[in-house]
Order: sequence, then C-alpha cells, then structure tokens
Amino acid sequence: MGEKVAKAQPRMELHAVVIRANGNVEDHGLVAASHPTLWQRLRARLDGGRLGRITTRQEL
Amino acid sequence: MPFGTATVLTNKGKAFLAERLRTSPPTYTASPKYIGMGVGATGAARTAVAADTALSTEVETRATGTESSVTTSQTNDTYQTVGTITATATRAVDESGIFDAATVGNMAASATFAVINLASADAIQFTWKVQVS
Repeated sequence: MGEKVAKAQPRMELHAVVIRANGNVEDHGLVAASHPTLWQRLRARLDGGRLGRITTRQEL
Repeated sequence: MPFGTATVLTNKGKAFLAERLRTSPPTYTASPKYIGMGVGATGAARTAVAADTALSTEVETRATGTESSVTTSQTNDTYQTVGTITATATRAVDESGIFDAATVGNMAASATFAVINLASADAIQFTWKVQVS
C-alpha cells in the first residue's frame, strides 16, 4: 500500500579527445549522449567535423 | 537496427547503480572505472542499447579511469571516469563502454558513435559521465 518507488533517470555522456602521436590534440567534444539537447547534437557534429547537409530534424 | 550514435546505461548498469547503494553489494563490488573501446559497431550495424553486454569488436587494453564526482545539475550528481587508450595499430574507433574489470567484467554503459580514425600511437582520452537526475 505504502510502497514508493523513487526512480532515477541516469543520463550518460561520452566525450573524446584525440591525442595524435605527433602531439596534436583534437577535441571531438561530445561524441554520444543518452539525452542530447539540440545544441549538443549540433555541437557533436561540429566538433567531429561531420557537419554535412542536415535535411531533417531527425538527423539533428 | 542500423548503426547510430547513442549512449545507454545497460541493464547490468541499472542493477549496478541500484546495488551499489547497498552497504555490501553482493554482485557489483567493483566500480565501473575501466574504459574499453572498439571498432565493430559500424560493421555490425549496431546502435548501443540497454541489452548490450560487450562491445562488438573490442581493441587495445582498457584504460583504468580516474574517477571523480562532478556537478552537472546538483552537487556531485555525476559519476565521471576519465582514461586514455593508445592505439597499437590503425583503428577506426566507433564504440566504447565502461566495465568493472580490466578484462571481461560487467559493462555498465555502452556507447556507439561516428568513427574516429586513429593511426598507430595515436590515443583517445575518453571522459564518461553518468548523471543521476
């Protein structure tokens, strides 16, 4: 009767920075997220140099 | 399911979080600080899902992450583990996971992402964050 369930909603983020053998550093930023915001999705594309043509909202 | 970008807490990861609240966790006694990377998600047309228990094609030795509690929304609401993995050969990295052991172990979280190409001796520093909100 009195049972209460407190639900946690974990959010995951994975960031990646590439360190080249020559010492160059490339920050890929947020490469994957469980609940990415629109800005995070766009930022991930920009950081990864993968900003191709975006034709649908789903692609964001 | 086709390849896609995703990060999920696995089913084991959910049990992990719940059990680690106990005084003496019976199963998940070690933290998921070990970071693995793989190269098989795109080829396997795999998107990270909660049922994941391993990477498609794991490569290199897992990094022993440096753990901390960081603040995202509330003070110390986020678990963070940071580790660097160096490639010993050319790698097209497209998946990562956090585990509770340096080999095998339980995968607490799984991620698939657009390929990051590495040459031999290049490295990736991964920062994994799990926020409880």
